[in-house]
Amino acid sequence: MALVTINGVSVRGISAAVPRKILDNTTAKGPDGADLERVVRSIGINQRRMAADDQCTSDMCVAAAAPLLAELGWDPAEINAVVLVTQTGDYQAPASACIIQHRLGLPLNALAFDVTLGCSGYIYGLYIVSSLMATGLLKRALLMAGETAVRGYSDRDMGGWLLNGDAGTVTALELNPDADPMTFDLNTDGSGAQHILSPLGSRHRLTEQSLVYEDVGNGNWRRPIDARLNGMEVFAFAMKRVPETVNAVLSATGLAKDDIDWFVFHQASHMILEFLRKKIGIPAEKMPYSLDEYGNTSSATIPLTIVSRLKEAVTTGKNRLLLTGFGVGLSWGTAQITVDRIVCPDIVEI
Amino acid sequence: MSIEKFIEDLRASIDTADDAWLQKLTPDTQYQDLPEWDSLAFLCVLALLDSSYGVEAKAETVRKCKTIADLYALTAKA
Repeated sequence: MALVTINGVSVRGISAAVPRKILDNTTAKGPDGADLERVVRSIGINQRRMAADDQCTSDMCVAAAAPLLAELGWDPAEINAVVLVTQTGDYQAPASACIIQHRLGLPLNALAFDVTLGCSGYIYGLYIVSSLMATGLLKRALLMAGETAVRGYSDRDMGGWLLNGDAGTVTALELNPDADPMTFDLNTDGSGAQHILSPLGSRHRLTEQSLVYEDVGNGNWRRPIDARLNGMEVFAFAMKRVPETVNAVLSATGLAKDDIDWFVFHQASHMILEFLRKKIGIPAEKMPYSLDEYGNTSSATIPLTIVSRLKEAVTTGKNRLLLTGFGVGLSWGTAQITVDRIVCPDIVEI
Repeated sequence: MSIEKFIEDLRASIDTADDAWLQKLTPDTQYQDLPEWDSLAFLCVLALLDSSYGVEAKAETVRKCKTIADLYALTAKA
């Protein structure tokens, strides 16, 4: 899509919830007992959170919404839309956003739907919600981004298992005639769809064979239902496409890298992010990381990084943010937004 | 730029547990057959090609390079 600018919509607050259960990568061993220290150092993920068996994406998002709405002083009856970005909804149907509409007590005439994107999903979600609001028909809306991705990977396949974490986030948006513009660049290349794939669905239905572990090489085992990730292809994709989208948005806004306070990137892996940071020329102190503590939480990484690493900055002053997501799809995009003293409650543990 | 310099760059770039194998690399080494060659080494090569040689190689392109000399040939196309 061409670059697009949305006016008249402000982010008012961001919140996040994570499960209590911690998975410790620093003591993890491969399925064949191999030492994983070098791999863990490379991906930069020391620990991550995993949802309990009875916890779903909606549970984390609803938990994150409570303190956010309380601090904003927003009455649920005055919220006009809830959009959930997730690839791990509670059910195949209905959309989890419908369940969330009911649980939060949003009015019956609220829009509620899911968007099935992952790593780029927060950027797409911001665009979808803000462009709907810019019609003037929606005054307040909640953009949620959350995943229970961990259970989708085989714990005997180190190509994916060590990376993922679970989290739910909420971003509150409001019509505001004085809002700073939001500028977006959104892209897709479905020729790489197989590089990050969670196969269970209409094409690959559940059978007895779906649950049988198979040797996939390098000592790793997974079942046909388990998600798989081709790290090499994703790395090659990211190193080409991410600098393009970042530079496209900087050029469109007329902003220099020095004008951006924080570059918040999808938390893919430390190795990819450091490569991209150096290639684009971003100072280390302007690029926060949260993957060391929470892993790659897919659509939730960008808001989770803001809440966990930038709380003081975003709650006390005006900050220009450049947000970039890239991955499953393949899909990628960048948003330049400005946040001014937003509400940012402490992370909720459930 | 010589292939010797390219091999030096590989030695400096590849993150590996024991770098003895890197010291033995020659233009004819079939590196993907070495037991120490792994996905992390692969990523390091992709990053090196891009950052030092301006080559945005697809993973499949690198996978088809059997020897170090084949990898080096990619840099001539930049």
